[in-house]
Amino acid sequence: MTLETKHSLFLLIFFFLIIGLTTIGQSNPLFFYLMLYIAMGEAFNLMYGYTGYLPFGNIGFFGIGAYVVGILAFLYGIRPPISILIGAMVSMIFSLILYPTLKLKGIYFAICSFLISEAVAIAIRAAPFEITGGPTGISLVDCYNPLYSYYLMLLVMASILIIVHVIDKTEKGLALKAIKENVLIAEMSGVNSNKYKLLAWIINTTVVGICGGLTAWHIAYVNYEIAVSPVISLNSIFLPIIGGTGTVVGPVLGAFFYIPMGTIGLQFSNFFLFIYGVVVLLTVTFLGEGLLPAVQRHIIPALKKHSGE
Amino acid sequence: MSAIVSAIVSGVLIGCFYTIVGLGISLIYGVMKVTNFAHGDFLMLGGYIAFLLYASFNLNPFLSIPIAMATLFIIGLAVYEAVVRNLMKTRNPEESSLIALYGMSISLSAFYFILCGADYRSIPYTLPVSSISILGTKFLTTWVLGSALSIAIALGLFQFLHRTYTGKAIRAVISNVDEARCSGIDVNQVCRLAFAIGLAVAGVAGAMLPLFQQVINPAGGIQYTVLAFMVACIGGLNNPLGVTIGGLFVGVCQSISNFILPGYMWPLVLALIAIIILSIRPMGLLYR
Amino acid sequence: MLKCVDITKRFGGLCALDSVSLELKDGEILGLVGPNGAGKTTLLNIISGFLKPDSGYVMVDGMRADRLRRFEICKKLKINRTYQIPQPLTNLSLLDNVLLATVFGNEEGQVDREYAREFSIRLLEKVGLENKLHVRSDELNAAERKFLDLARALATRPRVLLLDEIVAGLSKFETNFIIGLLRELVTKEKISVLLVEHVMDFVVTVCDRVVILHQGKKIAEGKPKEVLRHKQVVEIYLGSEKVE
Repeated sequence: MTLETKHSLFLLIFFFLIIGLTTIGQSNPLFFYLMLYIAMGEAFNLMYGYTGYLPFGNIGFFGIGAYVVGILAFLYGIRPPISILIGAMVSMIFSLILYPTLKLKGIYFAICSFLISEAVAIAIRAAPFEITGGPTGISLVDCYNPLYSYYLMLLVMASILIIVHVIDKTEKGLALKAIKENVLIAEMSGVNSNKYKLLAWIINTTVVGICGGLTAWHIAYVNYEIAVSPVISLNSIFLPIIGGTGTVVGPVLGAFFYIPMGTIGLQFSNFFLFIYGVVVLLTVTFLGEGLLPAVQRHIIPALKKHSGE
Repeated sequence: MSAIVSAIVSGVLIGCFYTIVGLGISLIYGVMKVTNFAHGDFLMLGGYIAFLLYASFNLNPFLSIPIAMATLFIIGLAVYEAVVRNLMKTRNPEESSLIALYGMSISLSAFYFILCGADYRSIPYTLPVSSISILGTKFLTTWVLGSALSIAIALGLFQFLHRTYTGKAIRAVISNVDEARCSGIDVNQVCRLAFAIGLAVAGVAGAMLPLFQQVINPAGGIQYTVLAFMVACIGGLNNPLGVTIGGLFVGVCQSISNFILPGYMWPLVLALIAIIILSIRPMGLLYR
Repeated sequence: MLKCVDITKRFGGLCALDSVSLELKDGEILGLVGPNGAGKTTLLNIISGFLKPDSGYVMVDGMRADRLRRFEICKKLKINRTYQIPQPLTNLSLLDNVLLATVFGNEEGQVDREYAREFSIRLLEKVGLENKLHVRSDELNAAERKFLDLARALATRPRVLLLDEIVAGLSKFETNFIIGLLRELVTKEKISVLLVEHVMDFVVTVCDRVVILHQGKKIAEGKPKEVLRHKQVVEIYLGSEKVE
């Protein structure tokens, strides 16, 4: 019995919908973070699994989104969710400015985008404290609304899942995958590579920017550590890679690996980071595309043979 | 000596150190097209070895340098066999090694946190003179010694690469893998050796960290990885000699940046320089 | 309908093409031959948009290729090509390789999905790969990869088809298949073909005209049998009688 992707995505969205109505869902930020990592993972997946770029600097856009929300509340009293929309637009503007970096290939793009996110972190730290609230950060306590922010996150997650699903099923996915493998051949098949790269890039950065704003709203607090958080950055890269890039469901699978860290791992974060690092190392070295494609390729046919189909 | 000139001289001194930091990553990439994103963390391992030897046995820090070199060399052989060899078989070794070794970098960092805690570590050097006078300006003896040591190591490596048969084999593989293979060179052995040497040089650099007042800490690895990459990129990823230029360039830039701007701005300046260089000539200014 | 006018291309100190002009007429099969290093593949790369000439230009039906991007050369000028070393997209299935070109090589959004699938399958049948639709393209053998390249090029409905040593390494049977296919493409689909080739039998059999390149210059042009008997051409391939 195969579960069609469409149906598993509906189930997933429904699951989070229901969780949000329960007390566990409302008191434990774990589920919010699960949705966050699904959304960020899909954005990463769109850039890497489909278009072939490693956006190591996504956290920079996350930080921009988070601080826009914080600063707008702090200085101008503009509250979320409007400020999140503005944060999304600011992210979009930055992504257009940084679009030329897509000319870099593979590892150079990865390192360059990593450096850019470092530059964003430094710029935030160097900015005057009257704007950014300094090391103590900005408190958004009067906007605190965990339920509303949870459901908005659900909406964002559902949207990016649907977007990636549609891309995967249509020729747009083929175009992106062709660009990933061989841009020249893609172009000689008639694909306007610049247009598609831009599309993937804008979706990626805008979603990540929105996630930053949403996170700031949900925990009602922004500071240096949260905005350009090394842990969120790592997770947004590692979880989709472990789960599997190149398919819609892979990053979802990967995001669930966050559960041990988000529950017991809070006290032992170094221990879990160590394990994550090793798992990523092993996955990339031996499993190539990630856990899900490996499962699809080896375990499912073996199971089929076993049940005598 | 005017202030700006002494800043430049400091830059040259630390630039020699940065050259060593970049040589390993350049060698590894040049020979096997593997992006060693854990380079800085292996460097940090060299630092921790030096620190632990000092803290436990009060070992003269200078002696820990060859010990770090040897230890990292052996670790390099092991890591090559266990991991790198398999990474080279993937579809896109450059990218997969970037991700996989980033994972290893995180694991190493976490490992250092668990083992030694988050404290910054350093090793005090007791030397007969604490500063040396060059053309009227005083420079720290440790810096001068460190840069002399770095030059010696770099020269040693270049001699090895150009005068010995093994070194020539390594250069052959850097130049053209297939032709090297056809000439009877055991490419796998060369790669393994090159990786081990790369890590050994990183270990030496790590053991030298205290000489330049740089701290040994669990999360510090990544900044050296990025630095190594910058130095190697500027000089050319397959040109060991070019790394020298890269190292000096970065060192001098840092000094001038710290002279003009506040200290915390340096990473931003480095990022900007890197972005510019990566956009113009990603393979390096002196790439052959 | 395809004109190359005074194409010059240098790589550092090496002049790969020196003011080369040629014309591909409607419905003809033109052969481009010459010793290795003559500049044949470079010219092909320039016509298909992979390289820009240092001077001179390519023109199709009055439209110049200078300012066009590669995908526009494919879609607007209707030029496509195969490759000396086949370049399948290994992360896509065979069908997807061709489907991609079908959808994007013609006007996007105006191609019905079902029709595109059918069209792609028929193209794969035409080149003899109908049994391998869902096979990954890196599992094909060398000849099959060439046929895939061809199917992909044809999917964009080109008017000019450039072939880079398509019969190299093919068996007699496969070569005859290509000959038949080319003749059909020219007569039924009204495609003009420019092919780079070393296999002289094939050139003589299938080409209407032949252009000889040597060291970046065009040295002869005309019907295959006449040109190949030209003294200078024989000298280039077989050497002159004089002993230095």
